[in-house]
Amino acid sequence: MKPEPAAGFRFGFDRPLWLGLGVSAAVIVGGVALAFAVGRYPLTLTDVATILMRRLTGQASGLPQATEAIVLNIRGPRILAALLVGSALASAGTAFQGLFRNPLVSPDILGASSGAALGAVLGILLSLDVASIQILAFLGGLTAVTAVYVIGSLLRGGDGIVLLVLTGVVIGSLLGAGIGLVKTLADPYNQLPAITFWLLGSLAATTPADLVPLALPVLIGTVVLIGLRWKMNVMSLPDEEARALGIATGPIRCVIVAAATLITAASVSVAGIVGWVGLVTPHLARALVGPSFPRLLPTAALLGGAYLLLIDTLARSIAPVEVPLGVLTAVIGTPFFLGLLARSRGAW
Amino acid sequence: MLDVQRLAIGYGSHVIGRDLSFSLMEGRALALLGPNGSGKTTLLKTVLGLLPAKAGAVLLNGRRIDALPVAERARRIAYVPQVHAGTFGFLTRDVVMMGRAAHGGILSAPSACDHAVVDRVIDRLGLTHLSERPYTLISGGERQLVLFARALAQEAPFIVLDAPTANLDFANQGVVLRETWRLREAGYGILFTTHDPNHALRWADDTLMLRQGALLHHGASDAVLTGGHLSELYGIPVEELRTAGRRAFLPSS
Repeated sequence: MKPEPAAGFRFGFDRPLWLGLGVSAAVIVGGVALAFAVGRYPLTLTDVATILMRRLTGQASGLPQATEAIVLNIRGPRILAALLVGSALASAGTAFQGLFRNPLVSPDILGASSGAALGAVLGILLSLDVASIQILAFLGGLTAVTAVYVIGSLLRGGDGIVLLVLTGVVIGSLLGAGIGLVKTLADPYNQLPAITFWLLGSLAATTPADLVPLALPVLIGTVVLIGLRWKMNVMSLPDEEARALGIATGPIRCVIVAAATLITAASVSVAGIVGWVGLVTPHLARALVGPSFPRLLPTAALLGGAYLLLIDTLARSIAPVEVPLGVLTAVIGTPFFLGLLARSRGAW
Repeated sequence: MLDVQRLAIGYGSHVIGRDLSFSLMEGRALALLGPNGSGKTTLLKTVLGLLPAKAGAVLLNGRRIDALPVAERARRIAYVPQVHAGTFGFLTRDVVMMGRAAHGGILSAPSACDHAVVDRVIDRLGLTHLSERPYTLISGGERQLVLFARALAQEAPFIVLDAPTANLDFANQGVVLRETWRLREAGYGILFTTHDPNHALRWADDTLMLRQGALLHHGASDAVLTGGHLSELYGIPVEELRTAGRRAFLPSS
């Protein structure tokens, strides 16, 4: 039996995990330095390092208070939030692409983002405070995916995975109609701009208080997903094949969906809807270390954080006003993705 | 021993076959022959415990297969599905490693033992040169052998193969069937489906003919495979060729 002619493009199928983690970590370090340095208020990296080091040891930095406030209360939290949200969306996207056996899937396939969006715009319509809006968004995301999962499991006949995805699409468009309704009811001078801004995603309003409610669910969900990475290769096979290999697919699928939804809902509730990150960064990670989940998932988790951090730095520096994240990720994601489709030749 | 007793098979509330009884010893090969839609794949999936039995039972060494936990089942009976391209370009080695999924905990990385087993089965099937290549970029015949290796990595005494020669060219059909026979000689119990009676005649000890969900004939391949029985099974005239003590069948018009 003759092997097919060697493929010209080997797209990193067998590079080791340390390489993926190393490259991602290097981009993160560079991205963090850049993000601290870029902005209207000039900061030197020495100042930043001094403030952070002194803060850790509990000493006063001796630098102007404004400088300290920018580092600790504005750019610092925003950098951490970008890393967390990017990492969360990338991990969820990677897990879902495997679970749904489709490399074109993103974390909102089961309605996590649209559910969170409906919760948030309702909160804005009701003029709630920021924390309540975030809680509503988080609960909206969880509720939407739970509904999709329960309804999808109740439907019988055909492939369970396909039914789940179709249910997600249907419920997602219903939620979209709900968002549309809220928009028409909203005050066009006050609430509508806030809703629009939220739906396009932004980290401009990140405060230190956002970090714990964001980090906690993201860390829990990510730890669960990374723990299951050894079984995710098998989970990306057709259901019967995976069961014949000894994997109880039902319970594991439920846990993966729950973990991915937790981190997606937490991210969306802080950053709004940031599309494309969960779709594009798994492919970048795949280009680095190949599709095998034990290598892919940890790499994607780091790389996603780096990616969103760079995008967010761009978002607040390329124009006199902040560019919504969702606009930038789409502008960058579209050509990237078309290029990917052109050269993939069916192998992911 | 794999013992199938008065099994009824089907999907949902739809029963497509009943009263199926046969058994398979370790070190024997059993071919399952039948027209499209006769229920071959459904029978295989029920034997594997992937579909619930509608009646009767599948016993593995006396234990009902549907009472076994899914991981334990995978350590006793392995499945080689029809060749597929797969969605992701996992390395061939990673694909074979999937066969070890039932041997470790849900959160555990492959052990040194798992790696040793994978190396051994890759070597045994002569796939070493492919082990660092993406599964999506090798040929159909090679993929079928990789799926064989994955099933061997399960270290189960029984292997069920769904149409192992379908979609393969003439040469690869030979390669795959010879490999199947080698597994039988190594002591595995082999159950495979095929559309070619000549494959059953040459590579299976026993043959089971399935028509519309019922057992038409069942016994030693030499005795069961006759022109008359095949005509009955497929509803067409069948020509039997004899040469140098060997037999072969052709559909005739």
